[in-house]
This record gives sequence, structure tokens and C-alpha cells, in this order.
Amino acid sequence: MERISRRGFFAVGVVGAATVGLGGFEAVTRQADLAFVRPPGAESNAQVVAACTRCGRCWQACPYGIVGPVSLADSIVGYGTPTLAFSKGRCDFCMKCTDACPTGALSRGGSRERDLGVAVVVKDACVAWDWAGCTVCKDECPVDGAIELDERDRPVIHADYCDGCGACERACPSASLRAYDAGVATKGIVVVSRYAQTAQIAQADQAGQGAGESGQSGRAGGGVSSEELFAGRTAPAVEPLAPHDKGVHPDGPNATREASRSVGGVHEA
Amino acid sequence: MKRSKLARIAVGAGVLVLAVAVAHMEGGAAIGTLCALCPVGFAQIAVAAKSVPWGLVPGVVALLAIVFVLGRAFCSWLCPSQLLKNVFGGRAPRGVLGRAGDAPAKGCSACGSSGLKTQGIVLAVLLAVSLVVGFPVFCLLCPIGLVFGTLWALNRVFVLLQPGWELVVFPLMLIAELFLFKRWCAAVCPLGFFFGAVGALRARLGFGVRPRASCSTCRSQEGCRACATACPENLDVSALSDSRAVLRSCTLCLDCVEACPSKSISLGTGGKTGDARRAAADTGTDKGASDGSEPDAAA
Repeated sequence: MERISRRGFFAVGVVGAATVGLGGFEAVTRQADLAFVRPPGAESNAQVVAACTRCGRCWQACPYGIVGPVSLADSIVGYGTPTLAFSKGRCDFCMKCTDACPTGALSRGGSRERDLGVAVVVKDACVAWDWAGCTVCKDECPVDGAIELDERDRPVIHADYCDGCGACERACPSASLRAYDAGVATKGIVVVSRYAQTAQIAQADQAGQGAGESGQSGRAGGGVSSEELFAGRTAPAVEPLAPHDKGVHPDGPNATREASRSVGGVHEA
Repeated sequence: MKRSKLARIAVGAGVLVLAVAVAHMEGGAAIGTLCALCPVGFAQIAVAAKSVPWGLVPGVVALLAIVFVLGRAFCSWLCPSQLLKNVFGGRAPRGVLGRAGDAPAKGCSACGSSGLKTQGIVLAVLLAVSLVVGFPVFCLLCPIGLVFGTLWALNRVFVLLQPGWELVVFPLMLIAELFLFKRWCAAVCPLGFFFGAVGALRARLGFGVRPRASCSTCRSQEGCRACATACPENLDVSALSDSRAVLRSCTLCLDCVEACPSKSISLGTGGKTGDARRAAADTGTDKGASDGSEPDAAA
């Protein structure tokens, strides 16, 4: 065997240190747990980050162009793993991304196979919250019962029905109805991961409203503020929301109307 | 610039352009389809996710099979980081006797086993870290991935109009890796470890495509070292060469073919030279793994 040259030894040392350093960075920041809205078939964020080879087949497979890579600024560890953006379209669970995945980062059969996340109302951006009359999200929602209007005709989301398909976020016209304000979200309703803090806040908020709090001001139930959205959109929640167990998406794999069996398939209607 | 180098640049750049073009076509194969062939990515994902990604197996096996037949041709012809080196990093001029001033060493010492050793260390470290922290760490450092990442960042900025840090960070990392670590390919590249391992198998079985000198016209007995001087791997390709070293390390860059003054070198297969008489007279090796048996040629 030849002896290792000094240069080779140096290079290996530096690269080894960089590798360990990157690992240490992940161990400290836990970026793998950042809660992005993942394509269908993603079981958890950590699992996607571990198993994804960043090959990009899922983005290529998506017929609506809504799957894209997580950017370096959002997560160094999760760079290149798939996330969803609903500006171009919504997910109809055609599962082409999942079928294209060669590594099992996206795979069929998990409890979250048909669960991308949950929509939350951004109260200071939603038009129905300070004016009235806008019901676009409810009208666009393909899942019966996921979005309902409260007594003031404001949207309320039922997390046990919503599958996070993004139809509401795509259709929400709030940005075009408001003057630009960097402090306010551009959409009055957005889909967030069920692992995200924002989802948890919105859920707690809604529970508070259900308990009979005033729906007038301050923490009126059923949504989040833009501030809460920006702060907690991908921050992992202490206790993630369970997958939806009631809603039925009219499209889906092979255009069936069946909800995923693993979540109970509670389907009447 | 040499013609063979220009050809390598053309092929490497062509593949990148093709990859980008295909990625922009509806329903085409993804840019990263190449990632799905990577044995290092396969190994990392297997340990990080703690389950074997079976979907990657056919691609990885196919890649290694190609390496078995063609040797490390990927390294000189397709690897995008080598393409950058070819374009931006002119080769250091070397004397008649090779880069270090020595004649190429004979036998196994020329095969770069120290490279295999350091590459193995890198691979072990990155697999250990991937296992502990649960994500494929080296994918963020891999120069091949960084080239594709830079292309993607360009696409984001100029086609999708979404500027990102990628376009700053990735090129800087590439420059650091390829131009500060001159030994990246030989000492660090964990993909090279897999290629080296397959190369060792080639050498042992005495099989594979390699440049070979025709004994009738090669002038190595008269002291010509043109091919060895041209070889970036410091291999002696002449009729006096040890075919095992060539099978193990040759990247099929074809510099030797171009450098040979008597045009004696062409591509051939197998470990033996064309001259069956010499192969038969070769001693100390078994039938299939016989090396080039060039000492006889000198006699």
C-alpha cells in the first residue's frame, strides 16, 4: 500500500471536518424537522430529508407544477427536498410525484398519504374578516365540509376534513383586494403543514372560539395573524395535528372518491 | 489545447446542456435522474433512512456495470467537476518524466491505492455522520451535485425569477473544492472509491476497455515515454506497461492515443496484449488474470 500523501491527508481532514460540521449543524438546529408542506406520500419531514436523494423526479412528474425544491435559505439540511407551492395550481392527489420517487421518501400507504397539511385563515389578510362578502375559498374548496362560514360569513376551517389540497390558497383574491403591506400575508388563507406551529395555533384558536369566546376582536377564533404565520409557518410544532379523518377529495388516485383507507375511509355523502 | 481535451469538454458540456434541455421539456427525465444513479447517494440514504431504497438499485448496478466495462471513463468524460477543471484549470506542464520528475512506477504502486484509502476514509466518515444525523450529508458538499445545483439556481433566477442564495453559495463551494483541493478527485471523491473498487475488480479479472499499444510499432523499448508523460493518471500505457494498473486507473481520456508519436495506441479490451506469445510466456499470473507480460517484450 502506498502511503497517504500530505495533500491527500489534508484534503481528507478538511472534508471530514466539513462533513462532521454539517452533521453537527443539523444536530444543533434540527432543520430536518422543519415543517414544510410536502407532496402526498411524505410520512414526516425528517423521513423525507433522510430518504430523499434530491433527484427532482417529483417536481418533473407534477402535472400542475406545484412541487418544487426547498430553497437553501429556508433550510440548508432540507435543500432540494420537495415542497408544495400553490401559486400555479392545487393538488388533486394524482400521486404522480409519489410514483416517480425512486427512494421511498414519497410512498403510498402511509397515514398521511392523502394529507398535505391544513389550511389556516390569516385573519388580517382575509377579506371576509374585516369587510364582508368574499366566499371564494369556500366556493373553491373541493372537500365538502372543510371550509364553512360562521355567523358573520367568515371562513372557518375544519381540520378534520381539510386535506391541504391548496385550492383555497390558490384562489384567494385578498392580495389583489388590498394595498401592499409587507407585514400582511399575500393570501387570506394558506396551507401549512400539520407539523407546523401555525397549524397548532390555528387549531387552539378554533377550540377557543368553540368554547364560546367573543368573535369580535383580539383572539377571535379560527385563524392566525400574519405575524404568527410568518413566525411559525415551518417551525415544528410540539404536538402536530393528526391527519384529517373525515374529508373526501373528489379526485385522487384513479379518480376514486374514497378517502385513504388507512385514515378510516369515513365517507358518506 | 489538445484535441482530446476539447472533445472531453464538448462531451461534458453537451451532457449538461442536454440535461438542462430535457429538464425543461414536459414529461422529460429530470435533471436529477443522474442523482438516482449515484452509489454514494444510495449508500447515504440507506443508512440515513435506515431502509434500503430498492428503487435506486437498478440504476446504481447499471452504473457500476458500465464502470466495469469502460473503467473510470465517467471521470474524464462526463463528470461536471472534471469539465470545470478542463475548462478553467489548465494542466500543469510536466517534464518528460512525468509530473514528479520520476518515470511512472511499474506495477501496483502506480495504481493509486493511497487514493482508494483516503476516499474510503471519506466514505466511512460521511456514512457514519449520515447515520447519526439522519440525512445524506455529502449530497450538500458533492461537487457534481453543486454543478447541477448551480444550474438549477441559474434556472431559478433567470427563468423562474426567484433569486436565491444558491447562486452565490454553490459556485463558491465549487471553486473551493475543485481549485483549493487539487487532490479532490484522487483523494476525496467518494464516488471515486466505488469506481476504484470496480477498477480493482477489473484489474483482478483482467477485463475491460483500455488503451493498448501495438507491440509491433510501440517504441517504448527505445525509451519513448510520450504516453506516460501525457497520462494524467501517471500510467504507463506502452507495450512495457502493467495492464493491471491501466485497467484499474485509466479514465479513457485518450491523451495517450493523441500523444503517441507512432500512433501505436488504440482502445482494446482485456488484460493481455495482442501478442498471444508473450501472454503465454508470462509467468506468475493465472490464465484469466494474466497481465500484459511486457518484460518478455523487452527481452
